[in-house]
Amino acid sequence: MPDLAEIIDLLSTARETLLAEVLPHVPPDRRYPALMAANGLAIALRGLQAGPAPVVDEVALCGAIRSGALDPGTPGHADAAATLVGTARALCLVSNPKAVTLSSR
Amino acid sequence: MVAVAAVAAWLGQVLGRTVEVRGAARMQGGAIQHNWALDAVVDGVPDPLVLRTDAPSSLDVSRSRPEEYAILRAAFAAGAAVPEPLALCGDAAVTGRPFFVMRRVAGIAAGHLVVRRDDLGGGREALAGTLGRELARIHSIRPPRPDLAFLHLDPRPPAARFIAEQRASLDRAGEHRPVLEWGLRHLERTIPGSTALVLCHNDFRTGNLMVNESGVTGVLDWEFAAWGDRLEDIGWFCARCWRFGSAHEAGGIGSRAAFYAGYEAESGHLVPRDDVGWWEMAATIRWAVIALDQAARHRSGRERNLELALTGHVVPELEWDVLRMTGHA
Repeated sequence: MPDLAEIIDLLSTARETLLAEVLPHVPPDRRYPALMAANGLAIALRGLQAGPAPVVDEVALCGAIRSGALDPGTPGHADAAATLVGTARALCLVSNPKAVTLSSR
Repeated sequence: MVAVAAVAAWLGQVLGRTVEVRGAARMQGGAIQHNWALDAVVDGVPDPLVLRTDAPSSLDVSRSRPEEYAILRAAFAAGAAVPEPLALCGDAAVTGRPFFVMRRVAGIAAGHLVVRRDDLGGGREALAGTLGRELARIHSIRPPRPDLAFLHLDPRPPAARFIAEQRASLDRAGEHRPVLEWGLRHLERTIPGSTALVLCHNDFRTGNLMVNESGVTGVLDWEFAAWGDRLEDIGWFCARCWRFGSAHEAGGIGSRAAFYAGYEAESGHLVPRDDVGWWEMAATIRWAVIALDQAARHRSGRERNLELALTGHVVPELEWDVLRMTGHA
């Protein structure tokens, strides 16, 4: 089993090659798929580089939120909000880091 | 590929004209439906057309082609800028699936291009106003309408119906997204009043609106149209997720003031400013639920496609928007 660092390096090199050596020669009508492929590689790379996701029982949390048990004014509200912000930020940092950095301006 | 000769023969018969189709090319976009540009010649005169048909897999919430065709005719009759619908084919023998043919309109629709241009539709504020008037014309279609009898008249107020539908979609898909639940619960606690039902386009946003230098040439993609609250469309159009990174709050194009003014002038209805935010959060959640569904179509193997796979990665950003709107992020 190759180590994670090597896999990350391989993905990263593949992406750099796609952008530097393939994209400039792609006809205009294929540019969008090529950019999507580069974006997909970037997301995969960030996913591999991210630490382990916080452990959250999503099923239980969803049920509690829907039932109103974590509404404003309940004892669990602030903790729940903090958990949601933490996990949402972690997911954004993989899928679209700009979303988090831009909205905190 | 579509059966060009069969389509030409069928269309000639329906229109009672001589129709020749000299070429057909799949048009970009349309994850749910496929559009083909037909280079038609009708009685010897070039007549650019579009053939619209289902993709191999379709969303459950999507309308059938015959229903979409009836809606398009109603919108065309109401004076909305839609491509003129010409003929509907429900006979699977022609191409294998139902389809309809409409005129092809010219212009730019791609959201990332439209929001960067200052000159479309006579300038940003003019275009925002035009789009407000355009939406008001669509909303002039009200129930009851025998020609649109297939549109379900839900007895619940639109806001309550919206929350129930989104929860049902998440449950059906087996998706557990605490942030979307958080947003839906927030909506449930702050539910606004509702007004008379109108025909909502339900995907009236930058990217589906074809424009050129002088105005709007076509409102596209009617497959989600349904009776609803006028604010469903207004919130969808203004939601941050459909501004394509632009700072202009009305669809990334112009100011809310210009868009609302156009809407109010044409419809005679005031836009209740305080309730638009509720429907913008609703829009953000709805887009997230659709995006989850698109990603699942790829993941399931039903329709392996990079664009669908990447659409799943817009969900975290939408969830971040929801937390921002509830005041937590």
